[in-house]
Order: sequence, then structure tokens, then C-alpha cells
Amino acid sequence: MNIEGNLRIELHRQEERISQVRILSSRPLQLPRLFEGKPVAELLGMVPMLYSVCGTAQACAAVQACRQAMSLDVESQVALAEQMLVTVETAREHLWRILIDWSTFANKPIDRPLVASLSTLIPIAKSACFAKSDLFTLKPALQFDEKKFVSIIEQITNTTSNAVFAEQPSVLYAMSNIDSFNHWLDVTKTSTSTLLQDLRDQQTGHLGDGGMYALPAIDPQEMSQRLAQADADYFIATPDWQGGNYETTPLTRMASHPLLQQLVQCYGFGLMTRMMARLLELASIPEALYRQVQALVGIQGNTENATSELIEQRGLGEVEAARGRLIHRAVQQDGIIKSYQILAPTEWNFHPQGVVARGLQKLPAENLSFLRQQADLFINAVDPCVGYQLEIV
Amino acid sequence: MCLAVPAKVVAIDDLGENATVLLGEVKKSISLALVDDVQVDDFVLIHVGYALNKVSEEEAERTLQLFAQAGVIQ
Repeated sequence: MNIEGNLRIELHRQEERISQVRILSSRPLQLPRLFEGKPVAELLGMVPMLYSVCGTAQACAAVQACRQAMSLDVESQVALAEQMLVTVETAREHLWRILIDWSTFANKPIDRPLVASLSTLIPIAKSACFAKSDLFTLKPALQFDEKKFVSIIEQITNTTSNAVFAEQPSVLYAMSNIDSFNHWLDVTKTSTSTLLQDLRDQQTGHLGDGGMYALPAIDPQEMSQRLAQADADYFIATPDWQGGNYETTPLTRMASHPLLQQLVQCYGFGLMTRMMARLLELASIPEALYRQVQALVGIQGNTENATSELIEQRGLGEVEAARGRLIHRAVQQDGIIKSYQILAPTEWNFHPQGVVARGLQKLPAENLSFLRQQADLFINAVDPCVGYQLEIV
Repeated sequence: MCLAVPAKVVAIDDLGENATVLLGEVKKSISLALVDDVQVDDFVLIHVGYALNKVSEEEAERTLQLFAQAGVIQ
């Protein structure tokens, strides 16, 4: 029984280079059809149960789409609090993958108690914002507990400071040139820094540089119209935009950071740049959350206008999840879902001609075990959450 | 973006680091690195070899029913 589906990634070698990369997906992308004919409120309960990986981002995108489809306004504080929960989830996801996967890649032990302690972040953050029965519902009432939420920010700060950066996140985020980056690598003794030191010293940080083509901002009406077309299933499985294959990752969100721009000069869009993009995004989160808390406390009862320019009864939810941009589209009539679609970042990034395929094609293929190791690292650097089967042919 | 599947824990190793879960009629080994305090007979959501969190038996059954309705399991 493989409910999750899988990605089969084939690397075809020819004369010590990769001649072709094939990506075949068996991911169950038609699952959202299950929601058709169900009341909107029931859908909102089902989404986080079914899509429990990044379940907060999924629930947030779903409620955005449904509110818009029902022309429901929501208080600005509610929308902001929901966004804050997504940000906490992004921190937890980044921390999980860094503390588990990167430790494994660096041949360091996993700090299991620390990793397990992160599982409380989301439940506590949610309880600091809403009553459990009101979470990601159409018209929730905010019950913000600032002290409890700040304790979550402190936990993220302390975990990143102690176990990842050996430095305050704000200090790492302020790093703007490659000399200070190299100095940080030289003096830091975490699993993270060990992995990055190895990339630098073994001169493998540039591997997988297939360029970066960031998914542009897309007009919601245009996206909704694209998803309404007859070939929408094909588009959801292999999305492109106006003929271009794009990626949506922490790197595309962080690309303007001055350190990343310098790293691109040295390493292109290979492993080092991609891994540092995730670290810098993680480093940015505590300050971003503090700013959001201040904004939340300062907002005076505005409403977020969900009444869209979209055609009535249709709504689009768009959320930047840990892995990239997530889009939900809902069509409802009299509170019953007529059509529901989810366009996930995985399908952009693992498109047969997308960022993973382009990067893998650039890997050196002389040595099979080295190729497999670098391929695992590169796939993890783009999207560390997807189950895949790597075949070298 | 991915699905997580509920499964029943049928055994836990001596170190408490890995568990065997029952997925339908198939046994599978998973890591318990992400969760605390899992016991035999608990239900957990699993994803790419990790237990993500514990769920109640009722939640697990409801979720499996939804997957069955969607046709991804029998």
C-alpha cells in the first residue's frame, strides 16, 4: 500500500556524464476530487487530515480559497495570525530537515530529543492564536496570547542558535559577504557547518548548478483561468507558465539576500547556494515573527477583503509553504464544493524539465557512489520532503 | 507536498528509535525521531519513513476512510 505515491528519478549515464534525467511521478494528484459534493466546512476539516505534511500551509490555502469563493471577509488580524502559523511551520520543517538530514549527510549523530521537542511548536502556536474548534474555519475569532506565541519564537531562536548556527539567527541573517561566511564556517562546529565546510573544502558546493528560474508572481485571475481549462489535470501534474519551467523554493524567496548573491558568484545555483538559502530563510524567521506579533497587536479591526475580482463562487488560496508556493482553487455553489484543485510546489520543482532535472543533469557521473551521494544531496537541497526512488541506468 | 498515512504501531525497538507499523496488511519499519512517547498500539501519521505525530484511533480510521473514498486505498 503506497498512498503517498512516489517519484522515480532515473539518471541515464553515457560516457561518464548524465545523458538524460527522467522523472516519473505516481503522486495521487487527483485526491482533491474527493472534496467535490462536500460542504465547505467539511472540506476545511478534511484538508489538514489528509495533507498533514505542511498541514498548516495546506489548511491556510484551503481557507483562503473557500473564503474567496464564498465572498467572505475576514479580519486582518485573523489573516495575519494564520500567516504567522504558516511561518512557524516553515521554521519547524526547515529545522527538522536540517537537524535530521544534514546531520546524516555530515555523518553526525541526530539529536533526537531536540528533534522531538519541535513537534510541540505548531500545537502551541495554534493554541496561542485560536480555539482548537476555530482553527482555519471560515470566520474564526482570534484569541491571541502574545506571551505564549513569543515563547514559540524563543524556542525557534534558541534551537537555531544552539544547534544550527552557533550564533544568534539575526547575526547569521546579517551576514552579507563571503569572507564573513567563510569565517563563520571555520569557527563553527555544528553538523550544519560541518556539511557546508565539506562542500567548500571538497569543492563540491557548485554541483547541481542548473540555473534558477524563479516562479514569477502570477495574477490570481490568470491562474484561476488556467486551472479551469480542460487540461487542468495535466497542468497540475506538469505545470509551466507561459511555456517556462520554474522553481519555487526557499532559494527563489531568498535570492535577493546579499550573501546569496555573492555565493552565486562562487557556486552558481549549486548545493552551497541552495543550502544557505534555507539557512538564511530559517535565520530570518524569528525577526519576521516578532514583527508580525507587533503588527497583530497594532491592527485595529480592519477587514481583509476576500470579495475577489474572480468570478463569483470561485476562489484561489496562495501560500508560501516551506517547500514553495502552494495554490488551492475552490469552486462552490450554495456552500457545496463543485470543484477543488491543489497545485503543489513539488510539481513545479520535480517537473520533467524542472530545477531538479536540470541540476541532476549537471552532476559528474564518473563515480557511481559519488553520483548517488551528490544526487541525494541535491534533491534534498531543493525539496527534502518528497519520497523518491533514484535509479542510475 | 505530500500525504501522511495513519498506521498502527505494532512493535518498538529496544532503543525506542524505530518502530514497526502496520499499513493495511504490510509491516513497515519507521523512525520515531520526530515524536515523543509513542507506545505499541498507538496510531501515528507516517511520511517517507518517519512518524510525524500521534493521532487517535478514531482520527486514523476517519483518515483511512477518506483515502478509501478517494480510491487511493481499497
